Amino acid sequence: MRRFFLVGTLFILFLLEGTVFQVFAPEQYGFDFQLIPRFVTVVVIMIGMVLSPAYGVLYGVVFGLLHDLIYTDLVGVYMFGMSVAAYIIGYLSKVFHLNWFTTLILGLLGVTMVEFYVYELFSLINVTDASFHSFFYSRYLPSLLLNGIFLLIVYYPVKRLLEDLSESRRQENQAKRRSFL
Amino acid sequence: MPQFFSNKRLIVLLVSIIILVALIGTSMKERDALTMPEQFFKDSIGWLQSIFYKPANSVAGLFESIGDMKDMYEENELLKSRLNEFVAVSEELKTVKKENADLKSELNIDSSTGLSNYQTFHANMIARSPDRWNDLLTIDKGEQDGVQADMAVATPDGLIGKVKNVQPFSSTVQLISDVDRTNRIAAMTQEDNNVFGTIEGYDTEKEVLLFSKIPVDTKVEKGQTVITAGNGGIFPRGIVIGEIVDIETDNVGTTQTAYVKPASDLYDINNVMIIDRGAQNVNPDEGEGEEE
Repeated sequence: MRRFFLVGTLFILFLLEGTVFQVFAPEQYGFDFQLIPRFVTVVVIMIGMVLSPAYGVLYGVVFGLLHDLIYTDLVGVYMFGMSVAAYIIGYLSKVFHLNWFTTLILGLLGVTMVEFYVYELFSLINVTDASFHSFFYSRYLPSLLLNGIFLLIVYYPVKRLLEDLSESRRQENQAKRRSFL
Repeated sequence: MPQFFSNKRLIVLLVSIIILVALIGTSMKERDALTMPEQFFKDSIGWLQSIFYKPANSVAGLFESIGDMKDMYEENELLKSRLNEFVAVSEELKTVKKENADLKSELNIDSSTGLSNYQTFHANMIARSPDRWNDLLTIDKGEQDGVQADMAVATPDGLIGKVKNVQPFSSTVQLISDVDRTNRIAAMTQEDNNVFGTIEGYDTEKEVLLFSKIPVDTKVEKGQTVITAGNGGIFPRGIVIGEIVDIETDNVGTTQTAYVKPASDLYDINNVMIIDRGAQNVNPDEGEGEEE
């Protein structure tokens, strides 16, 4: 049940990125910077941290593929980027004691990895011709701020959901083991 | 902490990089149509997206109209004074149109094959790529409504792009600001002596289109309006693209490039017109009926 709730939340975030957020995107009101919502990526990275890196990879593959199919016409870019970021951050998080601050720093590190990877890949295959300077200042930094704020807002509810999920999974495993013995 | 990259994991990573490259390679190729699963996903998610997009858009529209309210009185006065002008102009247009049709029939020109002959039908935007690298929109009309790949898409202000992919009930629009080698438009200036050239891409830093291949001895000026030329095959003649803001001679010195500021706001898009040049097999009324 909780798992469906997690998938549903991610799916709704995925839809919000392309629809509701675009209505309120800053370019419409004449601002010069871009805010790129990476809400799904943030939550997937949190899955990698709290549940396990393997789950991060699983959710990263599914929602990355969805992003590729719907919002770009290249299959595989976000699928690879999101799952690898969730995996690496998932392992890195084992070094730290997780509280809101370390989660914020690691989550933003993951978003940074995805942003830089996508930028480098798209400049390589000529999907974009933006200079690094404009990418960094008018796109990366404002987006980092947006996603950081988003992470802080959803930190407690998502963490609670994920911890419940991992707890119930642990109990299931124990019950299985007991019945096996 | 477990070992970060064991041998097995390293192999998985390498294999997935190979798969990534292969996937990008296959999906980058020029494709006529999307595969069935892609179409299915895009359509069903397009339907869900429209559920989210429409209320958000109407809320935003409400705030906007409250903001507009204070200017409304003055605007109304101005428009009233322009109304008389409009009546005169539309009368003139009617006579000119009739004269044009008469002259054409005298010269035996079939008016349905003209460069500037086209039909439009309307669609709503339902989503936009959140990462700005790909400037793609999703609109709520698809193959069932008569949309076909490569049709021009415009707002009342001017051209915004072309249809890239069609699904049965929705389609994807590639904006003119999308960086793509194949995104080329035959264009010309709308003056007494037309200057022809090609729109060959978009400068993301300056936010202007590059109107190039203009012979160096022809004269183009700032402020001239650029429209589609209609000899590229896809787009009809006469859709406004934008206004020239700057002109530069190329390195070699044989051609010059003009920077064209798009006439339509590429970020504030709600309703779009799909422009069908063929116009034989499309019945716009049918499309409207099916949506209900």
